[in-house]
Amino acid sequence: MLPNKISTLIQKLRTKTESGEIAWELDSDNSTVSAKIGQLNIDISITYHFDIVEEVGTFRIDIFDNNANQPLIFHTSQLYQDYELVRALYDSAQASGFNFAF
Amino acid sequence: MTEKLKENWIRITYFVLSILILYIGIRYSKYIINNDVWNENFSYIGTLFTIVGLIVAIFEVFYSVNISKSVRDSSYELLNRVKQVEEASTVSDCISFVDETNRYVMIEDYVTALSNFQAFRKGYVKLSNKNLTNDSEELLTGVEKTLLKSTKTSSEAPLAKRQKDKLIDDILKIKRNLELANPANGRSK
Repeated sequence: MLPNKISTLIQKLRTKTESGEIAWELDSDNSTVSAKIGQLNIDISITYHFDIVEEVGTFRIDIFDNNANQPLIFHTSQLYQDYELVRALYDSAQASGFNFAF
Repeated sequence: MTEKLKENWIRITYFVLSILILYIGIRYSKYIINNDVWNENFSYIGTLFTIVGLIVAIFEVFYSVNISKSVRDSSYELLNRVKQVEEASTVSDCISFVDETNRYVMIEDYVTALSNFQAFRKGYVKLSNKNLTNDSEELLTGVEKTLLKSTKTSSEAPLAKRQKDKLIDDILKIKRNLELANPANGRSK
């Protein structure tokens, strides 16, 4: 379950990613996408993991706040509504580095 | 020839012994019975033959005991060989089930992968030489548990790449253990 602020941030990030303003880096071995958001001076990374015990997919959002110099960690899983929200961002982020030369 | 002699050493012994007794009995009869009465001589010879008969009977018992022992030994040997052949085929069955499991994990069909893995475990319990360490027992339960849980994955929530890689790694480790347990390696007892 994400706090409201973070879900709003996720939503905004998604819009910006879709419009190509943010470029994400994909680390497929660790199922992680990460980006630097210059405007907010934060580093954000989203890691996917399948929770073997709960049998649900989970996302972990790591935000490093460069202003306050401290890490923030948020969690969501399929048990909560915002899972789909994070998944949408994760998918967009994965696609952001991809160039279709059609 | 020596084989035959070895097998029949009991019979040869009592044959020689009987001849010896008869020879001594007849050669030295005058020290035992010193007259020419016909029916006494007859009963003396009868006694000799009775002794020989007794020896034959006792040694025949030994002989049959000996034979049944060697029959038992050779049937054990045969049984062990049959077991070994059967075990070799079980190992190869197991390996092919493990391969199938891996193949289905690759295409993310965890339900089929799980049933293949369970079929593998059924064969696995039949192996006498499992090449089993505590480590591999943990590996087995770990893999089965992961497969069980993985049946709950969906395209919205698949296994992460790292988790899938670990699962495949573990299955390959099990396969390696199986290959080492193969009696055809000559490592069986």
